Amino acid sequence: MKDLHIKIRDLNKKYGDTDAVKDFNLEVERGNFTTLLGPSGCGKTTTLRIIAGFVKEDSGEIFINDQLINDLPAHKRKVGMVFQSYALFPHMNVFNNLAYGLYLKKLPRKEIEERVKNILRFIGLEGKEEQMISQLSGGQQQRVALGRTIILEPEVLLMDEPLSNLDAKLRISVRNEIKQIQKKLNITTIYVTHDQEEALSMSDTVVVMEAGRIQQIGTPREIYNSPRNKFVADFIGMKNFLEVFIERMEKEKILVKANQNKLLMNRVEGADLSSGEKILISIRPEDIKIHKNKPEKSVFNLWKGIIWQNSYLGKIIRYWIQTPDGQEIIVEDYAPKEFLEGEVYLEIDEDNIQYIQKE
Amino acid sequence: MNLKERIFKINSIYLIIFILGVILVLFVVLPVLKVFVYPSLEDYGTILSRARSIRAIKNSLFITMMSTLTATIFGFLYAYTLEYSDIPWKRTFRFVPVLPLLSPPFVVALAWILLFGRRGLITYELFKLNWSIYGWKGLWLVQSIAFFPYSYLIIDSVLKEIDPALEFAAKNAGADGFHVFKTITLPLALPGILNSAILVAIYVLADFGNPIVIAGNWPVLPTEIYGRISGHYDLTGATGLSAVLLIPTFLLFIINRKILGSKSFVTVTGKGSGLEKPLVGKVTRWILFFLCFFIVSIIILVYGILFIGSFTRTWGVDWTFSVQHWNILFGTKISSLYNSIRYGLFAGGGAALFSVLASYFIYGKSFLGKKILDFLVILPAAIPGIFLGVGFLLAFNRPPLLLTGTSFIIVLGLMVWNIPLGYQSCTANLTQIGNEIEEGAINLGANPLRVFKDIIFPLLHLPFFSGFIMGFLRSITNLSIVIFLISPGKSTATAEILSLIQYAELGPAIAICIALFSIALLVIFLTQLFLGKEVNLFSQRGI
Repeated sequence: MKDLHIKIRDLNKKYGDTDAVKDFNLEVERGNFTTLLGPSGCGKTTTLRIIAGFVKEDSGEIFINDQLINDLPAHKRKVGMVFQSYALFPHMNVFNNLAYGLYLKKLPRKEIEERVKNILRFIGLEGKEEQMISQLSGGQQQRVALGRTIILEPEVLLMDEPLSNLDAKLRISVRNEIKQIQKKLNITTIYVTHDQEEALSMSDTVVVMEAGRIQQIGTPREIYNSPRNKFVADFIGMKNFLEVFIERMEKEKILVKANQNKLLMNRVEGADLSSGEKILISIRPEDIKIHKNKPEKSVFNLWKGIIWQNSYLGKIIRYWIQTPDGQEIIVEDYAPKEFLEGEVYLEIDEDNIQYIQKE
Repeated sequence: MNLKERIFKINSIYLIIFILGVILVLFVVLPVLKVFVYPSLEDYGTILSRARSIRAIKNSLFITMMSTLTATIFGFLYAYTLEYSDIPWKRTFRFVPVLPLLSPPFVVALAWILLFGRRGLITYELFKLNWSIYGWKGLWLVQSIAFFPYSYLIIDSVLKEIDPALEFAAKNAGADGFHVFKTITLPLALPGILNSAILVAIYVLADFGNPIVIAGNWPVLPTEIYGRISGHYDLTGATGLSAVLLIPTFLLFIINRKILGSKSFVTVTGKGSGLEKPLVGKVTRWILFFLCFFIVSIIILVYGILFIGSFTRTWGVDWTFSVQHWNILFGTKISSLYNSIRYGLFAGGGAALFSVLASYFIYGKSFLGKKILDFLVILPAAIPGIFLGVGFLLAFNRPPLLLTGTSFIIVLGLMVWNIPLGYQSCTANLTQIGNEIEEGAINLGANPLRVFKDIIFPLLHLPFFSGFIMGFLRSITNLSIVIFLISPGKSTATAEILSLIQYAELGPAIAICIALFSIALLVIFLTQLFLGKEVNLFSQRGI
């Protein structure tokens, strides 16, 4: 049974003439980890700040537990926020940073100490309570920022690119920590990032945004496997976009033509396609097999091409290949036996051809 | 939370903004308007047809151009030397120019008179000349020395911001030292140089202390305004000329805001390279060293001669040692010194508090009319002290705002005059702190008043203290505002100095100068002792 926790209806926000957030609708179930993913300026942070109450929406409704919170001032919303800069108070030590929200609630001193102690254990910073913020490492600061928020047991946790200030190595371990804490507390979380890997690895639900609009909502698997349009496909790292004509619709297959080359692909569920139409497809570089010589078994989707550039990346080799009819294809060989040069054959499995959208 | 509570919470912010706004309207807008509307249009005609008024206007513009030019050249060369050479005694060279900023505005002029006056040590005693320094040439020399420190401090901070990597890149591309200076350093520093020149021009235009002492019968606007009131009880003439004085000052102020608004390109390249500055060649180094040495010597000479003067029986007549001047100071004049300190404490404290409040509740919030209030907080920086004095004199001389004759009016005048400086360092700090810390506190449940009390004020304690101390120092050395606001028993040290000079009692005047200066030095020393290097009192960013 669905247990709806956050409901956002028709949210709109303009800055001048630009739509920061346009017709934004989202439902988040209790305990769900939802990520707003998109490039900078796509409106993800604005959306988050509207939920937190720092930005006033132009129109729209936000419900938490079926309670409309639009007119609640920011400090009464019970949505905990972890900021990109952490926003820790530099003039207070770790203890006071963690205890600040509890002080404001006028809790008894003893209870405050008890709860801070628990949180310190939870975030693994026992014994650091007297330290000033500037004495902590980036990762530790990040944990204080998270601890300071969850100590108040907020209804909802908002996180605004909390990992962007950490170096690449640390980012992955903190990513896992955050995910574990979120699961342990089962706290409904809205997370903002521009990093697709972060979004796919952490989230239950991913919301891809561009120019203030939602492009696609889905599980990480859905987003990755069936991006709904070119923007989403591009943003999650797809390559080899090809514009093709549908030559013939068959019972289970579609025959398409890209310039001179023909391709056979699977029929697309839910897409109303007919022959003569122009569509956009994509093939992942790792899904194309590269052959030095023409394979002996007969393969329908076999293209000829010439390597014009390669790039050695350690465990993979990336090739830039041009087909005789002028298509440019990127291929990644994950088990390279040798460096290939000159003329090659590309084998494209029909299961790996991804339909993106009609053109 | 019920609706009533919410309305109270929201209103508490607006209430503070409203109170700040009322203070600004009453003590900034009202005095300015009062001055402008006091003379009728006809009066303006009469005032402007007076030959002496025209002379004062012409003289003011003339001396402003001259003194600004020399002070800026001195300031630039001085700053350039300190940043681009490895001359000895740098610490001394950095410290000495700060001294004039800690002194009453007429110290340099007074010292000049002791040296080159009718009974001057050099002119009369040494060369038996009948020549004296009074007049525009003397004023020019004095102002060049008195105002170059402002120029030096601003330009120095701009030169510091220039990334040496740019200069090395030019060298790497084949430019020699002079070319680097001409094509890289100078153009990059130009916005800062302009900024400092405009600031100095505003100070020179408003300068009252130096011309009243040394310009003799060569009127400039501030001295003419003062003369109108003290000599002729001619408020109409004084206000008319004050209005005239505000025009160029205000224009310069607006131009300066535009320059700062359009930003220099000094910081465009982002990350600093952490390189050391390239140094000038050997010959240039020594030329620059002697130039700075010369300037520093003059400043030290100024204070040395004043110190000696305060212990000399009658300068130019009887050179014997005497403590009689100090006896006068510690006798009848000591109460004026107490007054100065008292006013300074309240004005400095008030200005600092107002600055912090205004920076958060005006600069840091968005509401209808914010731009206007923000402008009004900065506006006193464009108002010459003498104008502010006349304005306060006019605006608060009848009920319900009868403040004339009280200490309160002096404190208020000085406070308003000091607000822009504190406000600017508070807003700069606030911008650095950023929004997220404030939002963090709100997110944890703090209402805006709590945010101010728990977060903003503690984080702004350094600009608060530096605002307080600078306000105090500027207040105890101010002459141009207090001169119109003092009343019997409420006199300040600077006003006493002026009246002593006018009665040709140079000895006691100098003793009070030295006393004020010592207090200022002591305050600086204590600040450094307790707050350490964290407080940078003299980081000049211009207005």
